[in-house]
Amino acid sequence: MTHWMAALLITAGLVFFLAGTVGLLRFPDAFTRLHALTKADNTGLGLLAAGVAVLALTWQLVLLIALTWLLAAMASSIACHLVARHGLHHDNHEETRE
Amino acid sequence: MMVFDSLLALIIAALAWRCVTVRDLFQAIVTFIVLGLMLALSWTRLDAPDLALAEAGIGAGLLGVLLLSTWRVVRDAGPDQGEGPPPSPWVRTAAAVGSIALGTAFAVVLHTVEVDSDRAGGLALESLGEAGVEQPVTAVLLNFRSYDTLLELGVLLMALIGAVLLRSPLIHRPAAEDTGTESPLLPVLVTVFTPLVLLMGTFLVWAGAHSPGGAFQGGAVLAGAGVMLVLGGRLGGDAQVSLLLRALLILGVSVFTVIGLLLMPLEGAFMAYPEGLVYPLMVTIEFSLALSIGLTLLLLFTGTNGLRGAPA
Repeated sequence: MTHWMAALLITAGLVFFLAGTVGLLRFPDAFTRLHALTKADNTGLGLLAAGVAVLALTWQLVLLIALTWLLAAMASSIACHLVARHGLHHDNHEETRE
Repeated sequence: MMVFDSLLALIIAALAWRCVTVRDLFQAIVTFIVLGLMLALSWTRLDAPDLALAEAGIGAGLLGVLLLSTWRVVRDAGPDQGEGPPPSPWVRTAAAVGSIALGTAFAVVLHTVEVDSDRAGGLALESLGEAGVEQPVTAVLLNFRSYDTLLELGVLLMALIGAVLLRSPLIHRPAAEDTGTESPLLPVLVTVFTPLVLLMGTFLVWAGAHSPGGAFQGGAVLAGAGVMLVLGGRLGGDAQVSLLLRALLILGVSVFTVIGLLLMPLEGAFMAYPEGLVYPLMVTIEFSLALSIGLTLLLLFTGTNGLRGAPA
């Protein structure tokens, strides 16, 4: 039972990763690509972590997985924000120069 | 898992090829970082978590940061200094033939090496009981071949001295505009993550005695925390190097040597440790090594003599 649940969660997570990657490759500019990547990947990672957590044998391991997911989600959101901010700043800079 | 391993090997080969053939320097660096992560994954698959940690922390993480800051300097220096004329076809052919010959020679030699379990590896595993730590890799690095580790530390220190001597035009000075210090989220990132990263680095050093980890991996993670503080504007490079910093830089080499020398009369050999004291000595050495390694790597990143807290 738990195996099926884990398989379902992990598969769902992989679908999000796939969608994020397709978005990264197909979207036209940096902002939409960031959007696709961070949103989809954070959800995908969450589902993946949930799937692995279902299989975990001890609650310490579950906590560790949850912490990993939280930190990864925070880091990627802030990294996304910084890249987008840099992009915005850079674009404005280019426009004012021309 | 066969499919996964084959796929991983193919991806590594493809990334390595792309890394050396791609024209754009920035893309080459990013490819190199991804290559490092994939290599770390392959070390995990080969059951070598120590190497995986070192590869991910130093190979992909810090080396990537160093390459990116160098790229920035080269780019800002303008096209005149960035790229010279491309090397002539002869030079390129010679380099390619030489690399292929060396690689083939290695492959042939390594292929003919007979795995003899009586040799170093087996011997190290058998005498693990005398090493004072449970983790074979740490036992080998800090006890069975401590000479090598001490000399490696010396090499790292020399590298820093060399970099400091050569640094003048090649310093990356993170300015407020490129580190994004004006972003309201950056202080959050630095405040939340720095203590966690420091904790993780310390844990890795401590864990080296009984599970994968150790001074090099832990030191690299500590340096990573430092890089984050520098990029977050909390820590800056300084032309002056304080006495404390000097002491910390040579702490690893000194503690290692002094302990080795002090115990010579007792044990009769350089770097031989008395039985009951092996564990505390190893942990002391490991932590001093990690501090020196972390600081050395951080100074290689800032490219300055010293460090100072950023003006409030």
